[in-house]
Amino acid sequence: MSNMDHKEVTVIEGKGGKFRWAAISAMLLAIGAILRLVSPSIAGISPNWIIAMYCLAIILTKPSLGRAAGIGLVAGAVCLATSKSIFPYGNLISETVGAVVCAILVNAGFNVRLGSLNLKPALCTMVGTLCSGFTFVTIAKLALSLPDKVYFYGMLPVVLTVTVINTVVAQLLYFPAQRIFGGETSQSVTRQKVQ
Amino acid sequence: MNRIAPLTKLMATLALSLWALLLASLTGLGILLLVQLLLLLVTGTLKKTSTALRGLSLVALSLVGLQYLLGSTLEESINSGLRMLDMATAFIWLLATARPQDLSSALVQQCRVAPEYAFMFTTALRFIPDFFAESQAVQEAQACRGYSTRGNRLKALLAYLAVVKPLVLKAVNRSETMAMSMEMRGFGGNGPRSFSTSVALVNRDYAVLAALTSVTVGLVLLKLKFF
Repeated sequence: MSNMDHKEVTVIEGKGGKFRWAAISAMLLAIGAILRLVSPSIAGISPNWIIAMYCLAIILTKPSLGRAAGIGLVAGAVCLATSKSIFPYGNLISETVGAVVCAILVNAGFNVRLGSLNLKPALCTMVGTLCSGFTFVTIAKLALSLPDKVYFYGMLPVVLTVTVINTVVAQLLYFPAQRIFGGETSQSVTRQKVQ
Repeated sequence: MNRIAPLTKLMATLALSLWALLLASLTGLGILLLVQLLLLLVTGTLKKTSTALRGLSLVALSLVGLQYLLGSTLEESINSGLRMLDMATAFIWLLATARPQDLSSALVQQCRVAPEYAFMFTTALRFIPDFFAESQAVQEAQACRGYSTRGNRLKALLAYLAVVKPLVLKAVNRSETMAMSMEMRGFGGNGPRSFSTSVALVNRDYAVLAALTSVTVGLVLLKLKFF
């Protein structure tokens, strides 16, 4: 066999295997939690970064509805642990609802485009945050017996403001994150010729 | 008190929250808050949790103020604030006295929660200090390059976006290594699962659970009687 013989070698580059959805969700939730703790509030409104982060995780990993509900429950538990809200236990239900709604939209076969710009991440996050927010404030209103005025003039404006912030954040973060995440493939196989 | 099992602490937290919902008077809610503060004192976690308690008190105060300004009576407003404070303090006590990995073990072994979700919860809490340090490093690096976050609140909030992006990209990158490590260590395999800590209930846990159940049943009966 001469030195100039070529061999074909198959290189399998792992992209994280079957638990990458769990790893990426956990890390993004951790980031959401610290941002929630340290970010300043404007006129008493503190953005819930955890919602933006789990929506981003769902958009990137496209989980099933059951798995999305699990991600939402864990997000609710992390919200409980870093609570700045008036009714912490409401997060367990509201984040689950938000995550499931986001997953339904992510897995639905439609695209929202403005020219060449894919706006689906913004839409999924917007609807997910709205559903989560409305669920949370409604549960808080019922559990704490809050009057209607507090619900309509104090809580709903917060939900709408946080929705706007989360929509912008998720859309801005999606493209660079997607590039690193590497698409939907779990493994990429390349063939190289080596001497 | 610190030696009771994580599941018992979890049940105690739920019971304390339920009591906060069942109690309707200012006196009752006030006593419940005092009991919880005493619990934090007895378990030696009052100092550690003082910052969180101060933050929560401010949120409770703003809730009281908002409700009062929007037409509720002062008693109703204070009632809502105290109720919120009671429920949140119970969870602060849980987190201050139980390690996240013990809570995860209890959830997997005793509550039959899927290990993937328990892993996510533990990992998210575990990485909070790491990402906090990284966010500070990113801010310092940006400050060295002349990026200023000074200004009004809105500008400070927008400045956080510049911190979030590198953090998220790092996290996405790191998640690949973590997921591969999980698979290589057999996470999700079919064999018997082992746990590093024992979270089994013992006699004192059963005693605490019995006491919690008795008080809860008593409060429910009182509520039904006066309803």
